[in-house]
Amino acid sequence: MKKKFIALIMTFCMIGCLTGCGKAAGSESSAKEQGTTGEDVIRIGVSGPTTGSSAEAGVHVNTGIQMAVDEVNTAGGIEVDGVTKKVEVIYYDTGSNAQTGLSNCEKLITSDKVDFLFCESFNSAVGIATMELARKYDIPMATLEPVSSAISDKIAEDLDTYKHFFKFGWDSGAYGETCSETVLELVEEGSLSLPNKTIAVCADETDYGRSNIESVVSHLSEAGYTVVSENYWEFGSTDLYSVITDIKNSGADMIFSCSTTPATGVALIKQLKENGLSTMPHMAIYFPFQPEFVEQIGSDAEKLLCTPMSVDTDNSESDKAFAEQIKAYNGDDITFDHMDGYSCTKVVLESFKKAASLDADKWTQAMLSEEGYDTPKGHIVFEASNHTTITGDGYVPVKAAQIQSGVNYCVWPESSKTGEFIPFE
Amino acid sequence: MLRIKNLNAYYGDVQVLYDVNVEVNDGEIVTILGSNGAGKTSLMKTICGIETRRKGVIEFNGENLINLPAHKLITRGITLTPEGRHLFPELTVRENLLLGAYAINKKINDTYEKVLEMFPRLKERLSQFAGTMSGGEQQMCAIGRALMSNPTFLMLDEPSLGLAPNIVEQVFDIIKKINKENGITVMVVEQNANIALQTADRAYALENGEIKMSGDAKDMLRSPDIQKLYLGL
Amino acid sequence: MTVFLQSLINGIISGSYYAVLGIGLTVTWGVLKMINVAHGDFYMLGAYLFYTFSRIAGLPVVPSIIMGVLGVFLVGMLLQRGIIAHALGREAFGNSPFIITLAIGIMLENIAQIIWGENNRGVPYFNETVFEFGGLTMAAQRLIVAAIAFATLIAVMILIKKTRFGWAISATAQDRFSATLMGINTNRIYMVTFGLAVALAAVAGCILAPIYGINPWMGGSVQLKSFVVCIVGGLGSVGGSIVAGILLGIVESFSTQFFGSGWQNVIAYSLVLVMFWVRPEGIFGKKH
Repeated sequence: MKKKFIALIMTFCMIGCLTGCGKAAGSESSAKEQGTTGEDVIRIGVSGPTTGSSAEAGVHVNTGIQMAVDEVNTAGGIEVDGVTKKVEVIYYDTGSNAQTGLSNCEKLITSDKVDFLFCESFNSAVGIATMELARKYDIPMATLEPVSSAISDKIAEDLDTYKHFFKFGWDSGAYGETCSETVLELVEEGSLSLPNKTIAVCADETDYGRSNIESVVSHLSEAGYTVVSENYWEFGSTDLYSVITDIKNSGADMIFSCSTTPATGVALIKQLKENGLSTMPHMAIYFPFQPEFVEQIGSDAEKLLCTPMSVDTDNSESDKAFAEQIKAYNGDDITFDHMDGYSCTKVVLESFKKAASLDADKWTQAMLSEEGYDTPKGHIVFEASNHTTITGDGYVPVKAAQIQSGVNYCVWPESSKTGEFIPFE
Repeated sequence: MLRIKNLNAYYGDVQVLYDVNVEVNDGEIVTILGSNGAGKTSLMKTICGIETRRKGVIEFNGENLINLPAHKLITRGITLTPEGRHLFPELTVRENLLLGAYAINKKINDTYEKVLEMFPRLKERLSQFAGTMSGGEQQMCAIGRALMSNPTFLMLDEPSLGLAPNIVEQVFDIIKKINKENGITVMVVEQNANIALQTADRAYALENGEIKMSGDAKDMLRSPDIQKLYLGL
Repeated sequence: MTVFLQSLINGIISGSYYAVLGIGLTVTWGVLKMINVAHGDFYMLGAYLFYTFSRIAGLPVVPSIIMGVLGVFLVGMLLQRGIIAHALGREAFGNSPFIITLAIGIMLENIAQIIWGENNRGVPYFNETVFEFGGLTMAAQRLIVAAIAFATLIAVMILIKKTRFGWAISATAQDRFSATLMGINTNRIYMVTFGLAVALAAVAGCILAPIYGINPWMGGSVQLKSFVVCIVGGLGSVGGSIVAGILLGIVESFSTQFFGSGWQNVIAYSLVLVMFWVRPEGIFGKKH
């Protein structure tokens, strides 16, 4: 009898632990206030990863979103249809899983009755899946960080279904352009030597990874470069030995890599070093800017070329100011994810304000306004044909940087340069 | 030496032993007869404290074993060669024998030599894996293993099982020898009533979990009931 | 030729820690007669404890590894004695170690996430040197990993074959009833063996942490690989796990050389399928 009792207590403890843990894991799963009716609040839904390999980024995006919302609420709220309303956000975790994302979004639309939905805050693959809900539901929707060209293509092909859908992430073509322009310029200058015009490419096995690499490859192929090694690793993996062995054996002149998982980035750089490839020219997309990467990599990322450099706290006054704002808000160090979450939310809310209505058509009209919106991320204007953020000078810049003594210096485009490129050995 | 009083045993909710009373005196050979399903192995397991729930008294040299964990039995000088021998199949004969003395921390070389003398066939097969020996050799090994701890009380569960008649005779000769020369008290649980009664001093008959008869072994050998039930006459 | 040699050496190195992982799982099966689907999570716990001792407490590498492994050993024993042993006897759990260890695994993952957060954690390499000779590249870290792994394998073999305690474990694995009659406290053997098995996973966790990073869900792929090693080597066979582990490491290494990294896992799991087809009991397993 005593044994039965003990076993029972143990079971309850375990169950209690599990449910408690489950709640803690998706800790931001419900910022919903109890007891508010649908009418006197503007409800925003956010579905994105707060657990799993993209957890760091997802959590930071949500912080940015909440900061923008709090700012608007503190200023009094937004007047729509004659009534001033406060804004409220509901967050669901996807764990980077598309199925979960879909069920989150369905719930946000049908059960939580949101007025606007970020159908995906971070992972391209999930965004591609959840954007399909625009076929079923006709409410203002957008993807936040996802960059995959597949999203823009779908919108362009079917503007009727996606007439209220927007893609805040620039197109992966932007990365291809930045990478190839940067490298070609450096080669022309003579500071970068790629004698065989051969490149090795590697990335997460995700839509984000693949589409970015695809655009890099297509831009560089046009300039006569050939790919001698192409590898994709399982998302979140840190076992990159086989990839690096392949890169080594290919004898490529330069590596282009892409990952959204800082641990993968750390493993890549460290394991390249392990294999004696630390002086090989390398340009990386996304991960070098994640603070978790910077924290763990120490001096091993010296001279790494990287993009997008969207946060320049050393040389940009506005970025510095935004960094202080975040620090004061919840103590976080600034990341691009904070900036993106904040900027995109600002645009959505400004559009509701401009439209003075929650009506989807009016909101869309405001979103498409040619004068655009000024945000910490840049000047956001949407391309009418595919509802995607325009990149470039005067819009949202996709800058390339090089890590020098632990600090990022912008080396491209010329107009944004803050440092001189230091050649790889 | 061993006094079992009002022993009741259960597998879960199913009762398998009903008010069993058995006595084994120092230096005796006692046999408990029973056909299949009579409860012989249940009795062995219950005395050892393995698998069954038990109520009653199991007194050994004045100590009640009912609260003793099974693995401590050997420290009281009690060993069992179980039904089916239960040697360690992937260990050699030598390793099996040495494991018999696992609980004993003293030097066991003498005992080891003596056991090998008693079972010369084992001496030839020391490096052989126990699982590959014949039934008779395994039985010898099992008994030898039981002797390695210098027990004062040896229990055997159906030692004749699966063995040819001449081997069975050899086994029971050894049991007699162990009892007379080494002074070890023996309790044998058996289906083969004939040889068991010829070897033992006293006997009990177990049927459906109950003791039905008891008495002098030779007397029981001549009893018409026993002859009908167990000897097929 | 150097490519071949490099692949072979890389394969043996990864094989050595696959073997360490496999032994833990196979011993759990062989002695306790149960599947531990949380094996990978103890690997994760070992890595986190190593991180805590070396990064937070500031202890040097070797004591951190020892403390990490010891910590997991104690946790394992506690869980076995406290939960598993009791739960396996109860009707309510259906006598299913799969469910119980699954629950323990989930619990460990969530606890890790609460204590250390879901961010990836890193620990520095034990040694940053990279050796180059004759066209071969070898990082000191990898050599250290292999050295510790092989030392662990040898230690386990000695423990099982030569020590009294190792005998008791073998005996309990082969015949629990008999072992009890010999005076072996099989409940205690179960407890300590489980602790040892998961401590082995922790060894791998500690030595691989610098290379692969640490996060609460890192146990998943390790669990799969451990199963592969276990099954190919023969469930319950320590020697089998060692051979199978090294075999897996070598097969993986060569297959990525010739087929690219994408095929790595496919080829490894194909090995299991081939083994099931040709010899279901594994290399050193027993036919039933």
